[in-house]
Amino acid sequence: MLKIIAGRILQAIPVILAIITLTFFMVRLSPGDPFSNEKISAETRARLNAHYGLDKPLWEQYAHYLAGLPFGDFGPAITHPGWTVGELIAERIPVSLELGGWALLVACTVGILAGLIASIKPNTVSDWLPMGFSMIGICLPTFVLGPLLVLFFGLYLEWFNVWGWILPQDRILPSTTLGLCYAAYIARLTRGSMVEVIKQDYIRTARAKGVPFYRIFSIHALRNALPPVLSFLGPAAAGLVSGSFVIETIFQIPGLGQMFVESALNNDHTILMGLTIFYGTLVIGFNLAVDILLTIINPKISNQQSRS
Amino acid sequence: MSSPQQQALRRFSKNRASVCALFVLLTLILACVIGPFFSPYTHDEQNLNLGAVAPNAQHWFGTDVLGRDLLTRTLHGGRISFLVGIIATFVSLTVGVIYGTISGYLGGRVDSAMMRLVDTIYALPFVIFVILLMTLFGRNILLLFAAIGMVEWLSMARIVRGQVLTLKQQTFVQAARCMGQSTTSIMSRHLLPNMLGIIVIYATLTVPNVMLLEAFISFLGLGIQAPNTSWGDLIQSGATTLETHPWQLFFPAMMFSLTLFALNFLGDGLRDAFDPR
Repeated sequence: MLKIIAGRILQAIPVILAIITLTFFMVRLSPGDPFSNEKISAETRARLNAHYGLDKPLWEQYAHYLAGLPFGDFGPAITHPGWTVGELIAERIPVSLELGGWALLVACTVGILAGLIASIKPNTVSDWLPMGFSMIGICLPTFVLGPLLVLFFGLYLEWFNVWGWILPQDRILPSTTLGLCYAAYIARLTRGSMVEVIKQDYIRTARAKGVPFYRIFSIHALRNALPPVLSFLGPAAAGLVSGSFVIETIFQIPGLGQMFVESALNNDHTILMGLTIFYGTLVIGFNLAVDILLTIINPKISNQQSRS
Repeated sequence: MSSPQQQALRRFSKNRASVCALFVLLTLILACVIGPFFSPYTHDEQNLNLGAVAPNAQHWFGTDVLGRDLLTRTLHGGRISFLVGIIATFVSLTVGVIYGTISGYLGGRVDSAMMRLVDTIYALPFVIFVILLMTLFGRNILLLFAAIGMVEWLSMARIVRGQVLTLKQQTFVQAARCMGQSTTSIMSRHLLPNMLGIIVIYATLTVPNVMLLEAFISFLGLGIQAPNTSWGDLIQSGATTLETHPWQLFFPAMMFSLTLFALNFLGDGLRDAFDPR
C-alpha cells in the first residue's frame, strides 16, 4: 500500500509543475505588462522592469520564479509596493480556510443525512422530499441562493448580518450557502450508492441473523456506500474554491476568493499568477489526500492496483 | 415491431416531468428569441427620469436603476445565455467526440496516455483557468465560448471512449475493417451514427453546466460586458440592489433557475428513455 501512496504522490508532482509552467507562460506571453496602465516615461518603465527582473530572458525569469516557489516565494506584488504575493496570500488564508472548512462540514452532514433518509424507503415521500430539495439545490447556484438567503434571513427576519466576517454568527450564512449546493450532490450520491449496497447479500445475511435495522443501516451499509461519496470530495474541493469567489464577493469576506476576483478585475497579473498556482496545488493536494484515504479504507482498490 | 428510436420516444413521452420540461424550455427559448422584437423598449435604452420602478403595466418586470426595462433586458440576456450554452456545448461536443473516438478506437498505449491527460485536466480547478484566460486576453465573448467549451469536453470524451470500446468489438465494425475500410471512415460511418443517442443525451446535460459557468463568470464581472447583458450579469446587478429593488434579482434568477431545472429534467428524461438500465 505504501508503494501505491508513493506512486500517487509522484504522479501529482508533474501535474503541479505543469500548472506552474502553464500559468507562468500564459501570464508572461499575454499582451500588456504590469505597468501598462500607468502613465510613465520609457526611462522609468525600463528602470521598473530592471528592478523586478522583467528585462531578463524569459527562461531565466521562469527558473528564478520556480526556485522560489517551494519556499512560498511568489515574487513581489507589483501593485502593492513593499509586499510580496506570498505575504498577501498568507494573510488571507485563515479566513478562506475557515469558510471552506465550515462549508465542507455543512455539505457532508446535510448531504449524507439527506441521502440516508431518502434511501431508507426508496420511491416514497421520505425519498422524494429530500431528493426534490437536492434537485432544487443543484439548480440554484450559489450566486442565486446567496442573495435569496440574505434577503430572507438577513433583511426580512434580521437574524444575521447581511455581510462581514467579524462576529461568530457571521460565519453561518456564508458557510451554509456554500455548503448546501454541494450537500445536494452528496445527497444524491449517498442515496444512489446506499440503494445499491442494501441489495447485496451480506445485508440480507445480517438481517437474517437479526441485527437491528438501524445498525445494519448506519454501520454495515453506510461503510460500503461511502467510497463514491468520498471520491466526490476531490472535485467538490475544486468547486468550493470557485464557489468561494462568489460567496466572498457577496458577503464581502476578506479571503483569498475576494482577492482573486479583485485582481482579475484589476488585471493584477502577479497576484493572479500566484493565486492560480496556490489554488492549483491546493486542489491537487486535496485530491491526493482523498485518493490516499480511499486506498486505505478500501482494500479492493489497493489490491487491484498492486496487481496491475 | 418498432425501432429502438420509436420505443425510446414512446418511453420519453410517457415521462410527464420531461415532457413538461421540454415544453417549458421551448417556451423560454421562444420568448427570448422573439420576445425582444415585440417589446417597445430595447435592452440598452435608458430612462434616467424614470429610474427604478417596481413591476407595473408598462414594465412587467419593473426597471433597473437606469430606467431600462427589465423584461426586455431579461429576454435579451437569455438570448446571450442560451447562445453561450449552445455554442460552447457544440465546441465541447466536437472536441470531446473526436478525442474520445480516437482514444477508444486506437486503444492500447495511445488510449491510456490520452485518458491520463483527461484525468489530469479533470483534477485541475479549471474555472480558475477560464478566469485567468479571460483576464489575460481580454473579455471577449468568442474567447468565453472557446474557453468554456475547452473545459467541458472532458466528460464527453470519457463517455464516447467508453462507447467506442464496446462498439469496436462488435461484428459489423470488424466486418468493415476486414473489407478494408479506412480507420477514419469506420469512425465517421459506423461508430458515430451508433453513438448519436448518447451524444445527444450528454449534450443536453452539458448545456446547463455551460450556462452555469457563463453565469458564474458574468456574475463576477469577468464575462459579458455592458451594455450587453446575460442572466449572470443581471443576477449580479440584482444582488447589489437587493435591499431596495428585490424584483431586479427575482426575475432574472427565476428565469435562470427555471431554465436549469428544465434542462436537467429533460436530460434525465432523455437518458432514462434512450438508455434504460
